[in-house]
Amino acid sequence: MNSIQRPHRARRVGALLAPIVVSLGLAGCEDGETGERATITKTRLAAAAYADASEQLSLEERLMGRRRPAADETPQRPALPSYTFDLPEGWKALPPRQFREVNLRLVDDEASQLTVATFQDRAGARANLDRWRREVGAGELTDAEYDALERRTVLGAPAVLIEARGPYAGMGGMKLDDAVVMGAVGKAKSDLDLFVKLVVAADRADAAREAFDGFLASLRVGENTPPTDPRAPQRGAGAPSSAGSGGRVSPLTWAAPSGWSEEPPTSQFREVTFRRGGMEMYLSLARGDVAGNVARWAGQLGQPAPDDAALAALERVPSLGVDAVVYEGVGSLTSMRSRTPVPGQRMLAAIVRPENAGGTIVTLKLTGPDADVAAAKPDFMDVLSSLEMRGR
Amino acid sequence: MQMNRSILFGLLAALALVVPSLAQAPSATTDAGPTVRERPWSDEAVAAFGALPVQESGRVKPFSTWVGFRLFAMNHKRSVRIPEGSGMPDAGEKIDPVRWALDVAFYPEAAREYECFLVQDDDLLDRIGLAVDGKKKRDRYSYLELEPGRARLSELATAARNVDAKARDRIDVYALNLEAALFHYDVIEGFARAAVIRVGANPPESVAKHFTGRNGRGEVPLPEALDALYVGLRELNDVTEGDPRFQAGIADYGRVVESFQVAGSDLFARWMPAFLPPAAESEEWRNSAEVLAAAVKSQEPLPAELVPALEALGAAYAARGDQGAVEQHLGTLSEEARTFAEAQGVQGDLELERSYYRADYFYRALYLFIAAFLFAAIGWILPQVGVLSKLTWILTLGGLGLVVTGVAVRCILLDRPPVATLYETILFITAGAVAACLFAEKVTRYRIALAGATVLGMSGMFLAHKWEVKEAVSQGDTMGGLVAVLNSNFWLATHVTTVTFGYAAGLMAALFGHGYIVARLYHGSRNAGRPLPPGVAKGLRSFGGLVYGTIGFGLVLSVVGTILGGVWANDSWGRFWGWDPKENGALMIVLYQLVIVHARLGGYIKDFGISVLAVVGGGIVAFSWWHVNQLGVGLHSYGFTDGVVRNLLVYYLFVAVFTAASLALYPLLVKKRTAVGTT
Amino acid sequence: MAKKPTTVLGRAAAVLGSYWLALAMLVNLFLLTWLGTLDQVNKGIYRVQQEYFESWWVVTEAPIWPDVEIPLVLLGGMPTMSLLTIGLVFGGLVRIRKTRRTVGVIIAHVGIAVMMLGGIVEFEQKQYGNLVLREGQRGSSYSDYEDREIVVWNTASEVGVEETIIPERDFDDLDGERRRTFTSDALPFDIVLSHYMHNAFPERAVGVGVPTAPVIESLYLKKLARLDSPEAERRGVYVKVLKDGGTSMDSSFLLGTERKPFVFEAGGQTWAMMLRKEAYDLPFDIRMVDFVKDDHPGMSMARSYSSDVVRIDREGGETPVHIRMNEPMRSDGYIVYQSGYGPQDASGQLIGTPEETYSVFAISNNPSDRIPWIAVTIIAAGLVWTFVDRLIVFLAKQGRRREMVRKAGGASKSDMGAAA
Repeated sequence: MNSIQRPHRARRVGALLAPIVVSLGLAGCEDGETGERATITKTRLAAAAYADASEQLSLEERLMGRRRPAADETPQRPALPSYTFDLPEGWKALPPRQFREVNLRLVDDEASQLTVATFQDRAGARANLDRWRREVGAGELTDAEYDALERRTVLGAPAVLIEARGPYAGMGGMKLDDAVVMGAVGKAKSDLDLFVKLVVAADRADAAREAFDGFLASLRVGENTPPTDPRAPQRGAGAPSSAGSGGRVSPLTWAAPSGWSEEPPTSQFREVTFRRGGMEMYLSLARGDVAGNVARWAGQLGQPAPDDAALAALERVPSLGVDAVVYEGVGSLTSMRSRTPVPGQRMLAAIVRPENAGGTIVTLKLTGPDADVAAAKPDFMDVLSSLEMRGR
Repeated sequence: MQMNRSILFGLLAALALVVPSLAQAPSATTDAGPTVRERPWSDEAVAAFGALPVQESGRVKPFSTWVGFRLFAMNHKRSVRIPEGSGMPDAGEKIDPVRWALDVAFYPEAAREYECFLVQDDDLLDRIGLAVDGKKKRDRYSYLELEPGRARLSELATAARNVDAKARDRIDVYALNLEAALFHYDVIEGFARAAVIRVGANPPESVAKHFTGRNGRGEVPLPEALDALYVGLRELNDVTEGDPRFQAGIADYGRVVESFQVAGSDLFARWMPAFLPPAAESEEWRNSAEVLAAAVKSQEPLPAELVPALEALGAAYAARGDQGAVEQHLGTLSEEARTFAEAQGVQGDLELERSYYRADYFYRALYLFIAAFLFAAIGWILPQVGVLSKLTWILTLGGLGLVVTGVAVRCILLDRPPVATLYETILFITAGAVAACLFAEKVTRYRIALAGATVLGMSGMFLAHKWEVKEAVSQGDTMGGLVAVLNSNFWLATHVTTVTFGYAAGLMAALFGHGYIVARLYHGSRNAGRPLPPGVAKGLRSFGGLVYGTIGFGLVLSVVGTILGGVWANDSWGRFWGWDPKENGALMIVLYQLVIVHARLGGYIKDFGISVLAVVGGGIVAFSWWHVNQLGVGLHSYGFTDGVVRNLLVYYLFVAVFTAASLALYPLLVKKRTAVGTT
Repeated sequence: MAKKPTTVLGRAAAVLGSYWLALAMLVNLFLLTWLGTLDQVNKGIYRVQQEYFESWWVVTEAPIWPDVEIPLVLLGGMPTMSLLTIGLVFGGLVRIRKTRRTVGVIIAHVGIAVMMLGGIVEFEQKQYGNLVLREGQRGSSYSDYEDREIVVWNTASEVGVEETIIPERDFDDLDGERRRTFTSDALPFDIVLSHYMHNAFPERAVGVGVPTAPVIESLYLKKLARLDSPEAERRGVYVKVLKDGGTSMDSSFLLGTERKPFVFEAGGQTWAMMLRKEAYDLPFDIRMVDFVKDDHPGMSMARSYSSDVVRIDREGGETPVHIRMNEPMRSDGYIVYQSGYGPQDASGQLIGTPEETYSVFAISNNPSDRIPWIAVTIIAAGLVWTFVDRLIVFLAKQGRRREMVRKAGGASKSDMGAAA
């Protein structure tokens, strides 16, 4: 849109919707409370009311629009359970990855693993037990052997347990000359199978068996994860979890702006990403100070870092119980996504340093075409003012 | 087994299309095979491959144009010399861009030694840790010489990208340009290779039963390979995850998937020209990487219409080493693509465009103008030799003819008046100024305007060449599409041509002004204390009249052109005047010329004063024509550029020094001693 | 030049019509234009326009070399252009000698005078704004780009709403505590405005020291620096509604970007008040039918874009119109231009669903719309006349001279040749 035009004095009112001109000039009545008096001389007949005035709203609601409940109208997406458990002594947790929603190993031995995988296995439990046996060179189970296997209740459902010993060569490239494999196949949910597997060197089998039993007994579906977490990654029907981020719960909550698409975290630094058109807005947790972050943002726009006076003059907006500092700039934006600076971009970015957060800062950043971002500022402010600590 | 299927395809998609970053350029083939050609590429094959239609910058153009600009941006000329000792049959000769591209794609090992990268300053090479001896500061390098510095170059370029364009220094700019040039080289080298999938000479059984390699190297043209991949993956679907064959299968297909990954890589998708005409399912021209990506995403085979062209390109690559077979397949490729493009009605005017670049009008005009200038110069020393003047005339007219023809061909190709970009205004202004000078010469016959024509023609064509490099680097073409508001033939033909001719007149007046001042000072000093001979005085008066007349001519055009610009703006978005930089530039010329005219009418200045002001006026035209585009504000953004400001400052300095010297010398050489006798 | 004037008026006319004044004003305007262009890099086009071309004086700096600047005081654009036009009338029309040789010049001067006149009319009379329509939507008014107004209406009426309007120019002087009471017979209350701000932002009055404006519901309006583009600024103003003869009162503030109106009760009815861009009525309605963006093949850059609309007059008559770049619709003194579209990304690509696509029209009501056309025709005629006339004289002179030279044996030619 063209924004270059001459200022002018508008004196004419539309011809057809005839203006009713009441011709009273300025009267000279001066008064401390009311000042001089003037008479309104312009009226206009409009086809419809200019804006919805059905409610008397608070000032804040008027300025920002009504706050919408969080997660409104978000479609329910299938989600994998995330697990809680007691960490067995001597074991440590590794980052989850595909087919290993829980991924543990012995602190002092890399050649060990205790993993939980959840997926739909049409081949059946027995095929999996056989696969584990093959990994240590053991043959397939006979019917009698299979019937004799130990059964236990895991996650409230029946599970079959197995233990086998031999030289181990697994998918992950792990090799052990003499290993023990312990496994349990059960149900995580009605349509999802649960696979718990432990591998250790045979000489540590006794301690490991104890750990395995304790682990199975303590295993629970995570209670702190809402089963329909709107930010869980979208998955194909029945496909297993792709990564561990699905179970991560943001320490923050927010009101999603309407008209924006909402995306799950794409990295551990992004709590949520909203997109609309060419604009991107994301919330992240980071460390750092205000000046450093603002300087970095200015740099991304090809602008010089603001000096102290300019920093002090930045907008302050209430958020998370403190004042957020809002930086706004226009320039050529260099980002991770664009190889060359894109001109005509506007950035709105806010930093919040919540109290008792141990120095962690919350940033909300909106970038995109100049005019679009300028127009979307109320949405940005909405999200910023809607931020709350989860559970507080 | 729906689940596994989606895992497999997800895996394939992830591997083939997401993972590769730009830094991971596909490595050159290490396969054995002939590394040199047996003979020069046949003219037919070059013509066919050069005429392959590609779409870029909103236009369908011949591949020769595309690759010509790539080479031009890399090498600053549209040719490469094959090094002696390369083993090529035509070693030591210069080859054109299409032949070069064929060598790069089909004889990569030899072509990597061609010195086709012009490095403007070897400081850049020091910065990326390449110490090259025996080269000049500004010299040409081969891919092989530059490759070891790529990692450092990439770091340097990344740092440069994070700097605001205005704040970048020379080295930053050179680093970015060289990085882009190397990417383009990678694309040209991999252009054909990306049309085959390599399963290796001895693929595992699970792969071999579906993929039939075309040659001993186990290369399969892309369309076939994709079909085979689907069959192979579907077969794997029937194996459960627990089955060891599943893992084995995935491992077996690893290499195949990697090859798909290269063919569909980001590098190719982003930089390869779109040479596949729009198929039924799509309205876009695409390149092979994009087509592959779309097919894999939808798990469909490649669009049937595009299969023959891709087969031919893949077959050409698979046949490399056998030059005749390569040429034959390339002929098929070009034929297929052109036939299909014509059937779709999107073929463009490829032949005319090829002839335009072959004719190289402007570079040839430059030579003619230089020759004309030399004859004009000799003519001033030996005025009695009449034939020199005639030769100057003929050469200048010849140069003008070439420029006008070139501009006319551009008009036909683009279907619009050729004054919409900065490059086009150079051509147009040169043609206009040379023509006007010749007219002035016809009238005055002092050989001043004629000499002026050669100087303007020469500098104009030189500037055009320099600027073409710049646009080749920044935009990849000089015939790009126009923003909507400029897409009006009526206004381009009226406002833009008038204003542009106004610029030309201003420059001419400046040039004549220089001439008048030199002549006046010269005669003043030669006739110290005496009145000028009547012939000289009359001549100078006419010369002065020429300067003033040119300003008057310029005034008419600038005033009308500038106001027409306002009228256009008023019709386009409802405001007549908005103090936009480009508008202001035009207004400055108008006001300045009005100052000269009114100062002359008011009797404040005479011929010498007019000439001095005309010289300054040249600086003002330069400001309007070039400088306002550097400011980075406003609506008329037909040329934001780097590095131009420095040249402008040099010119301003020259104008200032010349003006100061003129004013200082005037009282010494002229004022107190003689009078011209003008009124 | 004309005869020497004797009367005071005559002398004044002589001064106004003199070459030196014309020259001084031309040089001054030249410098304004040059420096104004350079200053746009720092100040943006809008501020430069105000400071250089709509001002009385300009104090600026002329760069004579990178990082070398000399201070300069110039006459502003307003007086310069006025004096130039007055000088043009006196010097170029009244006092100029009327001969065959000056006919073209006089014509050109008339053309420029007409153009300047058109400029004044445009400056005084033009209403310029925009209208955004999605497909299927109908518009009957448009919004100013810059000027705001406060609108008050009774929420009981659904259609045919009577709006009471306070234009911004009636309260944009109310800095800080300065206040003004607005009354209307149509309203059962008075409106007191104060603390007008060109650019404001609501801030929470907690932990910020002393708020710089009254606190309402723990918020107050903070004055921000003005922006380069007035279009993007958020106007703010405090409002008090005095009702029941001044015995009770509602207080709030209005902000340009607020989503919902300030709603209050008065006289037993509910009223709404909002700050918006000044609205102008069109004498017809425009219904958006279809927006078409034609791209350069393979690029997201538009080759052209246009809108199919229906113009609906007050009698209900419908006329389909195609509006495109460079081809506006002219009707009843209003001009409707294709100005933009959206939503779009940085490269101009349309994004969003077809239902979300909107077309932006710039609309102007400008009585002098056709003046530039008339002026440029007159000026071109005058200048071409003059130039051709001079050229013929010059050519004739050259012809005579060559004749002489040929008779004299071409001496001057070699003299000139030696000049280089």
